[in-house]
Amino acid sequence: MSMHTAKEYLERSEARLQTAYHILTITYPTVQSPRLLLSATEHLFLAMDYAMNAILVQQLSQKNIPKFNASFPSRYATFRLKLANKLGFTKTSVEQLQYLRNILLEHQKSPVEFERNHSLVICSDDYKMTVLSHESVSDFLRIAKDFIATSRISIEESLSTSSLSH
Amino acid sequence: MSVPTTQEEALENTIDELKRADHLFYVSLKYTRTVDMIKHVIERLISTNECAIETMLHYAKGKKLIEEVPTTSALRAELLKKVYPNDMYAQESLNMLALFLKLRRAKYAAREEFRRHVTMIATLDSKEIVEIKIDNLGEYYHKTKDFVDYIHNLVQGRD
Repeated sequence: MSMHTAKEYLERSEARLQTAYHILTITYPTVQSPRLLLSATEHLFLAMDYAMNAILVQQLSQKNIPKFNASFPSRYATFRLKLANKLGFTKTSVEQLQYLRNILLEHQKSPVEFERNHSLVICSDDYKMTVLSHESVSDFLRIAKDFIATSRISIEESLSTSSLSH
Repeated sequence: MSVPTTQEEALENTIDELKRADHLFYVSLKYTRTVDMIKHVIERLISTNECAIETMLHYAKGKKLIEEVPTTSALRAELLKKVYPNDMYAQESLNMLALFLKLRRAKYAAREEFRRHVTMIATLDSKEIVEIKIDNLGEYYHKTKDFVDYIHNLVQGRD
């Protein structure tokens, strides 16, 4: 993983969040294509992943956590086990990050996907179905917003604490 | 979208699809500047061109140039090529559609996302690399719009 600063990661996170927001509130109501919901989901996953990276980089620089591997499972495990509770992230939002990743992986592996009743249905090999609707993705958006806001607050607090201690 | 039985219904579908493409290009792509939005614009240009071809074939049926409008997009494209071999708009639309269908299947990478020069770098099945940017996508959008305007005039008997 090429390391950026916490601020850079947060900027990327905000850009992805804005894009998902635009797709859900402006593009989807006009174009009415359920495939846009998958795009919004992908942007929300990236927004949360960048926000998590911002936290990890910040905490690593303050030596609060050990070095971690660049892979998602390693970064996510470090974040979930060592930081999430301590920094006030809700369980739902932490689980959503993994859930969104699972949806995107299912989509990549999916043999069949189709549109029904304004939703996108992703089928897996074992007949499991994941349904993305405007309502469900709007819920993802709301939770992602909180997650990113908590990340920003945590980083700002951590920066002000470290500047006071110097 | 309903299956059209007349040239007027087909034209209405075409105009609706063009409006969606217009919104995706002028509002969403210009705002988001991401490659997935370029892909959505391409998808919408595919459906607009397919609807436009269907409309032109309904028009041809009305003029007794063909007996039936085929049910699949591939057969419709094939038939349009034969019925209007010298029509510049129709041939250009078919060429554009062929490229879009290759782009739909292509593996792609993103460059300069969230910037003015956001680029989709597609590697076609033939290994040819095609770069799609806001500017050349705009040209495809305008060609599609010209084709729809042309058909609109044909159907309305203004040509």
